[in-house]
Amino acid sequence: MNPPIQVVSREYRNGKGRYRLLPLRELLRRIVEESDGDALVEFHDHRPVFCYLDEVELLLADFADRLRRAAELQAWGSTSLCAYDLLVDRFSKIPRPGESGVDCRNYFRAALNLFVEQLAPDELRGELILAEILQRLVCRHFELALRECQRTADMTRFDWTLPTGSILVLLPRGLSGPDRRRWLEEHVADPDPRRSGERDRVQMIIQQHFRSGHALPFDEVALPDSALLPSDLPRFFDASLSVHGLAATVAQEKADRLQEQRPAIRQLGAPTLKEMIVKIFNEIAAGDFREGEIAQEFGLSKPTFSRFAGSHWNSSMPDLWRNAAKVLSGRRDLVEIVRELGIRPRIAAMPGLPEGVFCK
Amino acid sequence: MNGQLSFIDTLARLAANPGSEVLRADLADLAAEQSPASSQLHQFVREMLSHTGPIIHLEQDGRVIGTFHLGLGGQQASQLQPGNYLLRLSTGRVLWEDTLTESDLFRSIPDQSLPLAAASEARQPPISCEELLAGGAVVLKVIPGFHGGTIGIEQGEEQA
Repeated sequence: MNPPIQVVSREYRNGKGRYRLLPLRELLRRIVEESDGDALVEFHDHRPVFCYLDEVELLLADFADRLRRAAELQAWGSTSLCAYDLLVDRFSKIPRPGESGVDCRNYFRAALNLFVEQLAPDELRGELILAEILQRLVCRHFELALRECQRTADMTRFDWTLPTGSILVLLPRGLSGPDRRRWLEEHVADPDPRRSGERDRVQMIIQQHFRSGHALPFDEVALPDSALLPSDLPRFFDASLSVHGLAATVAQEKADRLQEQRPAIRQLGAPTLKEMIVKIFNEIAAGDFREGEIAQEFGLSKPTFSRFAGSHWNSSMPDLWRNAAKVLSGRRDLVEIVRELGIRPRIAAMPGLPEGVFCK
Repeated sequence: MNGQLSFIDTLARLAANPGSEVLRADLADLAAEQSPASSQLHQFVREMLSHTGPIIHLEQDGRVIGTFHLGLGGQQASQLQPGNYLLRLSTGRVLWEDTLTESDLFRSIPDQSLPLAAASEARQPPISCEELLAGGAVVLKVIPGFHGGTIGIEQGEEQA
């Protein structure tokens, strides 16, 4: 699903342009403030800032596709494809002047607004923080898109013709032909297709009536920053991790990203997953980690549990410990202690290079 | 009873009480061991440190030939042959690109008949290129060698 953007400059096509040298923040700023199509192409085609499970460095379209497939497995069916389209549109379309419609600048602006410069000690870390903000923003909007698609699946389009023009709205399937016009005339006061934002106003009235106030406006309305939950914020923002907080932090993070977990873990559901993670950490703290018993208690096979939180591994560290390492890495003082103690990683030769080519 | 992962608890408690000499000693002892638990501690630390800094890919003539984890400290790639080289941040941003020639990457074998002082000087690796990248966040060095060049990167001083 390619974004509807035309590549305009030869400089860009040759791949030698200045865009590839630009920091992510500057790239987004150009998209938001200058409606720069080349910057948008650079972002979509050359900035793999997303990750999904063990897959890293994914472009937005690839990441959205992983989310779509995960949703499909969770019985969202065709709604997941609708959500995928909506998501990609939201991050790739810039309307022409005077046009209405989805506007990616609103979404990128939200990401930039969440970026706190003081927390980025240098240009490169700033880049990583912004990448993480985008990752969580896209995840959040995929969830919103799923819900929106599910709601609109029960609606059909109706072109409401009025003396001054027409308004295209979505109405519940159950409302038959002639009843549609009658219902609109009874419930929408003073309709005027020439008025700016009239379609949104009418649609809001419809959705408030039929959906108990759960209406979502059309895409041209920017979603507020509050659409992000506190847990959507990158870990860099969490400076208060404590010993008791590690289990809770990791459990919350896993539960928040349930959709990205392996299928058997996902099936546990967020509350059960959190409960299991806290139990694992408690048993480790007590020096009594009985993984076989926990696996049985939560209905997981031994191999599944082993991949998730096994106590012995050779090369591939279980998911939970990767997560714990990531959370602990946010503690600068702890990282310094580890370095002071001289605990140096035993680095293996890099794949694809003759042994010993990379060294510390 | 399973103490294989006790280091995770130790690290978590150390995060809450960084001054604890007992916890530091526990960790240092385990790190020095030659045991599966110690090996897992080292892997865990590697995972931790890999999240503390940017990841930078080194490309030669359009092909990724290696990856630097800046959080793991200064790193280098050696025995490099002439070609077009590029450093790309994991987020896709290009940090540096240059064509390195034989004169950038190779140095001649020192003359055995050189006086002692001159021979000692010849042992100091010359640097054919040193650049600050990304506003000084990364220092890049290109060092010629007898069998090929070395590209080394480390964090800029202001990052320490």
